[in-house]
Amino acid sequence: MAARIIVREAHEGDEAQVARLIARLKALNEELDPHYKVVENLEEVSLEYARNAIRASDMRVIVAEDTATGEIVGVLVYRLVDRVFYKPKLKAQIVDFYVVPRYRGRRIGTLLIEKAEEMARRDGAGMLTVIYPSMNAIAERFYSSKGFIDLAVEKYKKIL
Amino acid sequence: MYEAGIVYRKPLEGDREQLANLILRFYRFNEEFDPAWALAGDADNRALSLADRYIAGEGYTIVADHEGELTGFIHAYVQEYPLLENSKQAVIVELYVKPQYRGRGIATGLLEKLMEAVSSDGISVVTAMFPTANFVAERFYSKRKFRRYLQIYLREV
Repeated sequence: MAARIIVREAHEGDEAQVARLIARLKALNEELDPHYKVVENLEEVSLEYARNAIRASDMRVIVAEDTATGEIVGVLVYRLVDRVFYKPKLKAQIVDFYVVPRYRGRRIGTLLIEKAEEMARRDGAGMLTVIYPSMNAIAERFYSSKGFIDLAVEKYKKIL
Repeated sequence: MYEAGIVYRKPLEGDREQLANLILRFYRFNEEFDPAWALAGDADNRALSLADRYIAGEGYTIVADHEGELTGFIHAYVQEYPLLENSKQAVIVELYVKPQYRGRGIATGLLEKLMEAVSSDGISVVTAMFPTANFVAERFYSKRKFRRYLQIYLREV
């Protein structure tokens, strides 16, 4: 089944489909932790975000496309971050990652990660990292299985 | 713990759209945990007809109403096991509270109201079904003294 899935860099024209997946990811995070309450105009914001991400020189958008239908069924976005004080200087940080449920279990996530590794290496990044809400046990399980380990902790306190 | 201003009641005619939306959100969330829960293309329409059935009185349905906004719902059907001492079980198939209303005891309120309703009909056992990987549901029910009771295996044919 996975034979008809191709993984490629997103290009202009993919915005709407990429945005739809990003919006689903954010809605899922909201379900898992109310601290990630989404904005009212989630769709609009996602579209704007997808547009920027595809164009930005310090971001890469990778998509998995079902070639039979032309549908984008998975997305991975990473950001190139300068670590300033540390070596390696440049890291590729995965900020969005989503595969539509009915395409799960076909190794599409694995293909996306492999493609990200390859592209990040070409971008000069020495490490691939990922950031996601700590309540997202689905992500936790996935990245652990891919050999990712803890790197940083973000704590929060309500001030408003 | 009960959130002030929340009314627990049966769904009414005017709840149709809101109830359908909650049903859809419930399934969309569970879809994330298992590909076998993938939604049908016209799931939003199907949610509406399911809402109609619940409003018409199918099984047990309770909604949490906060000043006209439905913040959550629970639905159970009755499963009969003629040979068992507990010959009727109420099976919770759907329980959902909107994210922004979580942590206020609304799901607990819905569950308690449901248990009251079924026990007054002479049903002594309540069970809950959810995808194995849904750790949110697992945590919720475990905390409320539910125990693992039935395994469901699936194979695509």
